[in-house]
Amino acid sequence: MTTSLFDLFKIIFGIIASIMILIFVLRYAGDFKSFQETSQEIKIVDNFKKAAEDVYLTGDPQTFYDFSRIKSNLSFSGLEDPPKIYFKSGNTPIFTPILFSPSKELLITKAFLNYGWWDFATAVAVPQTVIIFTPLELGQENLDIMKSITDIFQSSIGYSPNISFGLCNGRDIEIFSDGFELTNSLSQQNRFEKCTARLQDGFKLVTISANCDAGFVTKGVCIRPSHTFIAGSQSQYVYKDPLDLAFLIIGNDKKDVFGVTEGEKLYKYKNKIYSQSLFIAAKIQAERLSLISFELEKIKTETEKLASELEETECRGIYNEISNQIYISLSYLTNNADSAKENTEEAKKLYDEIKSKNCIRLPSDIENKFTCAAFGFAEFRSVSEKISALAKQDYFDAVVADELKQNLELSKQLYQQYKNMGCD
Amino acid sequence: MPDQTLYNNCRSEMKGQGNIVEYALLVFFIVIIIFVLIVFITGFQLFQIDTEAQKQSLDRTLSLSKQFMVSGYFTNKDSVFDDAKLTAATGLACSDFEKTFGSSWFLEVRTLDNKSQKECSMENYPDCNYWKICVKNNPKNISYIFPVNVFSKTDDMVSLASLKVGIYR
Repeated sequence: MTTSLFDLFKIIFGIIASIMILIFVLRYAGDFKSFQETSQEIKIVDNFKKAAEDVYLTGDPQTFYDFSRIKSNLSFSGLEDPPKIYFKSGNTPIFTPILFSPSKELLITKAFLNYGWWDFATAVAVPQTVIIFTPLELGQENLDIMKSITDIFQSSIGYSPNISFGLCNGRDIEIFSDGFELTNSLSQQNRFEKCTARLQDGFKLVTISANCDAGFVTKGVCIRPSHTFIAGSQSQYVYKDPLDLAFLIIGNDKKDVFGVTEGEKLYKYKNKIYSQSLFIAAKIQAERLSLISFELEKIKTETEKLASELEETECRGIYNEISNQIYISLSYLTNNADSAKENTEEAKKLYDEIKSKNCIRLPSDIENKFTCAAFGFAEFRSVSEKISALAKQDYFDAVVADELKQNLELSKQLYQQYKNMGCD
Repeated sequence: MPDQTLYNNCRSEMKGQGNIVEYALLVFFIVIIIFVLIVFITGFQLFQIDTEAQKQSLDRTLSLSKQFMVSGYFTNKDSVFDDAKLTAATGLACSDFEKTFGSSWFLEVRTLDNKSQKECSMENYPDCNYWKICVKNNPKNISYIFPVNVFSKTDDMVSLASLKVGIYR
């Protein structure tokens, strides 16, 4: 009897203990598996961040296939501060400026805008994409818009995946491997009709027409000079540069659960990082130029000292005059660039006179300093200050965008002249 | 005889109790072994997380260093640090840079000129040799030091300098 009770106890005890151990081990194994999956996801996203950063810094394109090992869907939220990449078990911040369209296989390239004194660069990580153009009018302005877009993605040629281009005329689609082929084909076409063809996955439709408006197209984006519209959205998006268009096109008309298009989100993200970067660059440039005016001040003091050291000679008079011209020039620097330029030019002439009279004791590079000052860095400085003030905002309306565009163009020209004179 | 029966019964009961204790001990040791295994594996994972966190910190520091060395905010076209740009940058708020480079980092540049350290500002430029951006009074940090060049527009000269880039923990 005792033995059979014991047997029963053994059975019950064994069952309970086994179940407990089994539950424990299974739960732990489950946690371990999920931990391993999470750490694999984190590693893959981290590798992607590194790859994007390398491309951003070096400009050498890279393919990235590791996202095919992640089962869950990835998403990119550029409007958060800082921007983040979301995956199943978490998120990770990404500080590298990036045009990112998550997919299993990506090509990462670099795109940039060059203003001479400042470059705005971004990594571009997109899957196999075909940008399909429908230029409803074939004017030069529309052709320039298309060229600026194809130039942005030109470095993807020869890679897989890559970005290619196409033309859609009514129900017909023709695909080209690069922008040159596209341009050549355009010269043989007379007129285009709205695209009604069935678009495959990865096809991004871009209609270009002076008639673009909200509701003008039912698919893709519609560009008219200075403004862009996205199908299904009532908003209009001002564009200042080709990257605005690139972000809108890659995002395109795909909507999230709140009805906001990916194009709008990427466009806003681009302008956020663009303005942050531009603000710092312009501010530093303005301050740097103010340090150069400080240099002029130093020359003035030096010439004054030289003049006081010298006896009453012809040289002394000229030194005094140089000092005086620089003084006047300095007083004009912030408000009147033309007058500052005039006075520094006068100082330069006097310096030449000093040289011809063999009474030169000023630093050897002073001539270059006069040249640079005479060029009018005050104007450059004032433009930089204007740009930094405009860049303080995250959103650019048509007026501000236009003003910013003009100032950036002017700064680019001024910088080029400045550089040509050996002042940089 | 009854004594013998009682003895046998007692012996049998005690043997039964002994078996129960034996089983209980067996289960106890199995649980202990599983527990030790779990603690070991969890500890290993935590160690891996800690190692990964350290690696990430070092990676971030290196990544920031690479960015600073080519950033147009601080360098010229040929990736040489510009003393006027560095001086101008010291005048900007750290929060402005944090929007672009993230938070909790710092940058220091010191020209190797055998002179006593003098921090640069808009007021004392170019009579200075040390620039610091986003430096906080926090000793808990990891950093790297690199040799770099600094171009001085005023002297038209390139000097050797050390760049220290780090992140706070």
